[in-house]
Amino acid sequence: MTSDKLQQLLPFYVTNSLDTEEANLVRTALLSDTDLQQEYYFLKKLHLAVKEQELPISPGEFGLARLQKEIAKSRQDTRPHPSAIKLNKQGLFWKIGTIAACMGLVFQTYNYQYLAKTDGLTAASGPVAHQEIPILQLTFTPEAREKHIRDLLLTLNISIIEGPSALGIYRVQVGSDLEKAMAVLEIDARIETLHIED
Amino acid sequence: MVLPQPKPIDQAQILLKAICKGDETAFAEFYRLYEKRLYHFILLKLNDPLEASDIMHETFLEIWNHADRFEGKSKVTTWMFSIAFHKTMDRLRRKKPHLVYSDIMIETEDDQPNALTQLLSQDITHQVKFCLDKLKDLHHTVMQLAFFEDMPYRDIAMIMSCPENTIKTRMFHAKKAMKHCLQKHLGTEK
Repeated sequence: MTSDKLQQLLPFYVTNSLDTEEANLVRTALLSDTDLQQEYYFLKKLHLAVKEQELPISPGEFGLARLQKEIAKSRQDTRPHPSAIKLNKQGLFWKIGTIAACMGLVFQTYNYQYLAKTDGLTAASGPVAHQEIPILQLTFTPEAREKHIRDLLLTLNISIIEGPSALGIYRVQVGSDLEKAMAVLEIDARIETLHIED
Repeated sequence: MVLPQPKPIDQAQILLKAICKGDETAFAEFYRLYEKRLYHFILLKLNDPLEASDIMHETFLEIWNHADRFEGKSKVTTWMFSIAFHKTMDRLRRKKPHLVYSDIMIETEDDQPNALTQLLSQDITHQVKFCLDKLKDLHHTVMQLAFFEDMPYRDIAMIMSCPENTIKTRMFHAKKAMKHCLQKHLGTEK
């Protein structure tokens, strides 16, 4: 075997991935070739250094939830089951309920802010020291890409406090202007469900 | 970095058979075993976490939808990396159609024995990532699959759909370029 061929096999000898015959050829050559030995030590060092690379943070469970959601959706699309139709009807009921609840919240928020600005209506106990920020529950459509989700949440100053769960549910809080955020979320095509926690 | 250690052939093949039957639990297990490695591999080529997430998502979806296409002629990981590699290359070609993904190498000077000796005596850990990023795409892929995944050149040839000798040559050039880059950045070049 020529020196060039041995040089080409050497990296794979270092990773112990050659078959027995090729490995024996390289092993024999290494015994007598000092240049090849130096190359071997360099490759061994390089191999270790490559192995020590830090792995990036991967999508993890978020990615799995996204896959599971898409799989579930494609199953529903291909095999409409009677129970699925029933679920859809239930979903419609909940959607209407959620919209009504959202509108109620918007009305209440408006009243609260308006009254707070009006003189003479301050509570006898003094100004409200702490305003509870409502928690929203969101799910996205399977088509929503991670970039879209991030962009939407950043634009509306929304922070994720929990999620996504195995069903892809996020619990979030709006940092400012809840009314505007709700208005945008309600019409955004990437939002599948929107629900305000009690 | 400690990765989940699958028993590559047995466990992956068992899981894949279950995936063929629509077993979502097996699919979740399969995902958890390989997701980190696959994401790392894709990200190194695309250098964009969002795009890498999308390609990984598409790869796992293809595995879910077409698990029955795995013929058992290779390892499951080889098949999986092959899907990811081709999807990544398609994305790269769409993003940068003007780029030519070739093996053309700019010839560097022959290795100097003294320089290699000095290289062996220094810590190269921190410079390796920088030099890996400087490699040509195809050389980077071979280096990554050979030295990070410890794959045989035959498997790498299957993943990249090219002859085995091409992989050996690419690895040879990748090693040479790494050596040259490390020598330059560690100040051992004469």
